[in-house]
Formats: sequence, structure tokens, C-alpha cells
Amino acid sequence: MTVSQYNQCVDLHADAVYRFIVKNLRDNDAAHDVVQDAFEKVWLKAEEIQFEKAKSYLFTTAYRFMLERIRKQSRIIPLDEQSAHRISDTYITPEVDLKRILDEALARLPEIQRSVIMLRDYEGYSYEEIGAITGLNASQVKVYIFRARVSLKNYLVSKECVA
Amino acid sequence: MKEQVNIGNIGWYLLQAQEGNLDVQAMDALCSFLEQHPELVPETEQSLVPEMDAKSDSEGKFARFRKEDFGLNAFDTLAVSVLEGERHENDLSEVISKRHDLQLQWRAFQHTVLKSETVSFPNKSKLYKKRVQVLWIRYAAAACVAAMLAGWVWNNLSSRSPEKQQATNIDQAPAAKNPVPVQNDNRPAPKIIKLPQQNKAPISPSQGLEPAPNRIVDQNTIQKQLAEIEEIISRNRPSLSSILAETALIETVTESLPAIAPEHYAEAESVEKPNMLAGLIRNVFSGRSKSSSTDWVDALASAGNQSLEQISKGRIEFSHQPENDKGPDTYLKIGNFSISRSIASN
Repeated sequence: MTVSQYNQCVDLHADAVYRFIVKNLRDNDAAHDVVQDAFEKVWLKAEEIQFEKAKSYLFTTAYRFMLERIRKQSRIIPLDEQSAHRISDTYITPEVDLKRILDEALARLPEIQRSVIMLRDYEGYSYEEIGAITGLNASQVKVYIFRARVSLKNYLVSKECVA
Repeated sequence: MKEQVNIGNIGWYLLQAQEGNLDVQAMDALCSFLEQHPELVPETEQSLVPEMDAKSDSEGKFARFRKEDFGLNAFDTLAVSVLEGERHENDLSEVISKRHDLQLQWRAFQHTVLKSETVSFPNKSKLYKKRVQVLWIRYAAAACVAAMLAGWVWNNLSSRSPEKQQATNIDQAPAAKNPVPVQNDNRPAPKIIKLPQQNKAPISPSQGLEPAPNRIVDQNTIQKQLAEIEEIISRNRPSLSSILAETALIETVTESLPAIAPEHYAEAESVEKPNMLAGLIRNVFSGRSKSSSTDWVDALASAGNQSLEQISKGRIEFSHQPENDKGPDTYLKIGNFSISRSIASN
């Protein structure tokens, strides 16, 4: 990967990687550091990385840096699966900020579920590609995505924000 | 006739219920049987109850056998499959069309697909890299600075050396062993001859025929003496012997020569015809002689009965180049120091 290709990689993927990380960490400074570290590593390995695979390498690297930071900080709040399964009979509350609640629900997901669903929805990665980034196989990715969606759905229903 | 539902025909009844073929009595019988055999309920939840609920359980009797999350696992699987594009949405529509709770679940599921949102990395400019050459320029600049520092340190260390700090030892000067060509590299290497001592007696009263010990001669003094010699030559063009006699340089020569090459010093003592040498020197410096350097060597050799090989071991060089286009150059070199004179220019 040449210098110009690296810079092009910054143009194309910096925002996406940052979004992926900041949504996971919910800490702008930490996400900033992770993204910078990830790009720095890509730069150091630029001669070995093909431009076509730079995005995947970038996400993989950023994901690993993020995990390191999470392990250090231990800040992630796991989703309370019990409460999330409660189904409310009253639904319609149009005033509710659906996006905010969805972000809350996303933040409550276990890290791996949050990561796979974001890679799936934001970046459009296949199960196999997500597996390559997260170190899982395709079946595991599929299971985590299923659990993530069910958890999100249950949280939305529990917050009575679905009409 | 009261319907008889048993373990043998429960499958048939459930199938009929799914198809909507059971009347109220049959439905009651089925419900009564399921009340007595609750272990069969999970199976019905998975496969038949949604259809039964929609078509046959108009009074909601069968709903008693549903769990609170009746059919939810199966529905979740189906819904996620639809969201992931593995199943068509029509498959789901049939299931949720008459189930208000599942419709709610489905709407909630639809919101779980994260919408793309723009998040900009604030310091993207810091991520860009410039050409690698810039780095090389930095490395080169750093190397230059390092070299300058190293040179400065080396100079400081050298200046602290007592020998270098105080004076220059002619005896140990490395260039004396490997004389450096003077002024013009294109000129042929000068032949090295040994200058005989004037009148076999040193001028300095401190000198004698005994070789002097290694003497530290101040470099500035020698430079001053050489400058003086050159000035005298350019002004008066006297004989070299008179020049040497008039200046303190003769003292340096006579002091240094025994220490530099004691064997040649002894040989110089045996030279019988110093006048011949003096005449040759005078002629060269006055511009009247067209003798070549070979002539000088030959003359000195014959004067002292020494071979050229022996003479070349001396430390005093005297060279003359009459064939030079720019005019004959003559120079005298003693140790590391030399004087030169272009005859033609005068």
C-alpha cells in the first residue's frame, strides 16, 4: 500500500472505524486513541497490506485495540437479559426518542454482540468477514447477531417505545 | 357425542385444529386433554398453536395453553431470519397477521437494524502521512547534527591532549614520515635530499656535533620563520645558505636533523663541498639556474658521495621544476612545513 493509498484509506475508513469504536467504548477520547493506534499500525504494516484488504485489517486492528482498552477499563455494562425479556402491553409512546433508547440498548449489549451487530448493520460485512475481524466463525457470528437483535427488541418493547 | 381425545389421536386433533376443522365441542375436548397432559403443550406451541389460535380458537379457549411468550422463540428466529435476508417477509406476515403481540414484536425487531449515521473522526488530518522522503531528510539532518557534535567533541578531546596543546613535536609528526606534496598535486613528487649542514658547524651555540634530544618546536615559531624566509627570498633572492644563516630556522634544522635521521646527519657531516650546494641553491632562487630537480639530487649526491637512495631518506626536501609552463617553481620543505617560490612570476 502506497502513501497515497494509505491516505485514501484514511479518507474512506477513518470515520467508520471511529464510529465503530466510539459506539462501543462510549468514550470519545478513548475511541480517538484507538483509531489513531489502529491507523498507526496500518501505516507501519503498509508495505505488507493490500489496499483492498486495508479496511478489514483496520477494523480488526481497531477491534483488538478496543478489547485491550475494555479489559483495562472494565467499563462495559452487560445487558440484563431478565428484564429485557419482559414484554409490556402498553406500547405507543411516539414522543420517546427511539434512537436514544436504541443507543441505550446497544450500550447494554455484551461487547461481542454489540460489535458484530454494528459490523453487520453499519459496515454491511458478511458473517465470514465479521468472523475474521472478531476471531469467531460464521455460525458464532450468526448466533451473536440473533441474540443481539432479540435483546435490542426486548429492550425496545420494555421501554414501550414501539408503536 | 363427546369427543374422545387421547394420546393416540392427539396429533390428528391438533392437525385439524390447525386447519380450522374443529368445532366448539372438539375444541373443548382438545383443550381438556391438553389440560391433563401439559407436557404436550410445548410441541403444540412450536408448530400448531399460531394457526389454531387464529382459525379455531375464536373464543380464546386455547390461549390458556399458551405461555406468556408463546411461540416467541420460533417467532424471534423467523423475524431475525427475515431481517438478515434469509427468509422472505411474506413468511412472517402470515404468522403475525392476526397476532397483535407478534406485530408489536416485529415492529420492535425492525428498529433493531441500526441506521447508518454520520460520525466524523475529529482529527483525521493527523492520520495522513506525507512522502517518505521527508523522513529521509530528517534522518539526514539528524546525521549532520550528530556528525557536527562528534567533531566538536573530538576537537575538544584533541585540544586537551598535552602534546597538542603545548607544542608540535617535529620528531613524531606523521607527515614527516610521509611527506605531503606541496601546493600542486599535478607536479611530480619531489625527490628527497638531505641538506648538508653549513660549514659543518651549527650556528646555535647550544648545538654541537652531538645529536640533540627530541626537541619540541613550537609550530607558530616555525610558521613565522618560514614566512620570514619567504619574505627574504622574494625581496633579495639570496642564497639559501644565507637565508638559513640569517634566520633562526637553521637552528631548528640543525637541532631536528640528528633526531629525525641521525645516520643522515652523520653523513651530512662528511659532505666536502658545501659551497657547491650553496651555489646551486642561490642560482635556483635567483632564477638564473635552469637545473632540474634531478640535477640537484645528482649534485648533492656527488658532493656528499652518497647514493640517491641514501639521500632520499632525508627529511628535508628541495624541489625545482623548470619545465613547468607557468614557470619554474622551487620549494623547500622541512618536516611538515614548506616554502615555495615561483621564479617566473618574479
